[in-house]
Amino acid sequence: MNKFNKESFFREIAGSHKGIFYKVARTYCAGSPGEQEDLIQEILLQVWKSIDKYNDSYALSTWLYRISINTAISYYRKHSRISQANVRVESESGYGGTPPDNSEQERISLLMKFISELGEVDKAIMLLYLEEKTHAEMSAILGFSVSNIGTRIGRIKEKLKIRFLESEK
Amino acid sequence: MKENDIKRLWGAESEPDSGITKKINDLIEDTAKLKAGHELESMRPMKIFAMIIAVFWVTGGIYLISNYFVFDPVKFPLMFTVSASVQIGLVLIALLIYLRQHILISQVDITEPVAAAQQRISELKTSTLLSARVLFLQLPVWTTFYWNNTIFENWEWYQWFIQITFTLLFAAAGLWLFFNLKYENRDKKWFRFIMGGSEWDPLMKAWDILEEIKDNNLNAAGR
Repeated sequence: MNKFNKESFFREIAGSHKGIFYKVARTYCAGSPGEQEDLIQEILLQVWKSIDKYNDSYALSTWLYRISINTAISYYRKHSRISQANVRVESESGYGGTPPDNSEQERISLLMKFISELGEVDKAIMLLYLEEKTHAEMSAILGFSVSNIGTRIGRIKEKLKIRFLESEK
Repeated sequence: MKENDIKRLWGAESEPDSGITKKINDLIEDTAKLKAGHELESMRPMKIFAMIIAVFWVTGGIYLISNYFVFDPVKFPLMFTVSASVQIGLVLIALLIYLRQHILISQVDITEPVAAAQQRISELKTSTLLSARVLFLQLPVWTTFYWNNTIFENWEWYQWFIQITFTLLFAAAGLWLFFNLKYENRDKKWFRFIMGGSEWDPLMKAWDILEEIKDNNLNAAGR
């Protein structure tokens, strides 16, 4: 791929899939817009560096999810300050679509907090599950078997339900 | 809370607003203009500084020792030369291990499925512990480098007793740490004390990720 093609391909795929970068950053750096921005920048850099390796045997979104999640986990490993402690119940991020009402906002913040408490791989599973990816798509992105993903989702959902129940007490 | 409620909550904030969209567009432009970074970008300045010091230490040490051998082979202090050679050799080995792991980590293909890529990165990351273990082996030579002819000729038995005790203690500590500073002991207090600095956080997290991936694989194999 020549330089001009690479640049235009990068702009095209990054521009049309920015939702993926945003959602991954939101999942892995919940509660810290500054870190989300840093992570998105790192993901974009990795997409740029990997662009020559792209082949169309996988859907573009699968390829971008792989890069984004791999980068997010590596980012987590490198930056010791990122932790669930960064996530506060009251929303402070100031991003999102239509602003929900206060109690809804609080529940969204709780959901983000509970997701941030999951392990790094479980976060990825939950993100893809909430994005309504099929088990086969999740398997292609994560590299686990379809049946394993099904079991794992069940456990994570159970964990989240328990955390919501605890928070209501 | 029901499954649909969770999905609805997620959906309520799942799209970036116009401010975030503009920011991401700016970042895309920045990246396209910036092009790719270099391999050392992921290394913190402190690590680069430590590596530069290690390179100077090894180069200077080799220069000094070779000068003794080449220009003054009769008068060179044997124990200093032996101790310094061992110490510099171990630093060199640790430096090479550390560099090799960093190069291998930078070569991992992050377009691979997450489990495979993260397992490879985390295994490489945790193996950087080997360079720390190798460095602990130098402990005893810090108690021998000043031995010289005057000491050998004039010291009393009790002075040797104290000296040898220290040397043996340092050797035992170095060997013990070399063999015990490993994954299986990561929850022990002494391990947390030695590896408690933020510098070792990435290593600890790499182990957590490895456990999570292995846990997933075991779940699959167990059915």
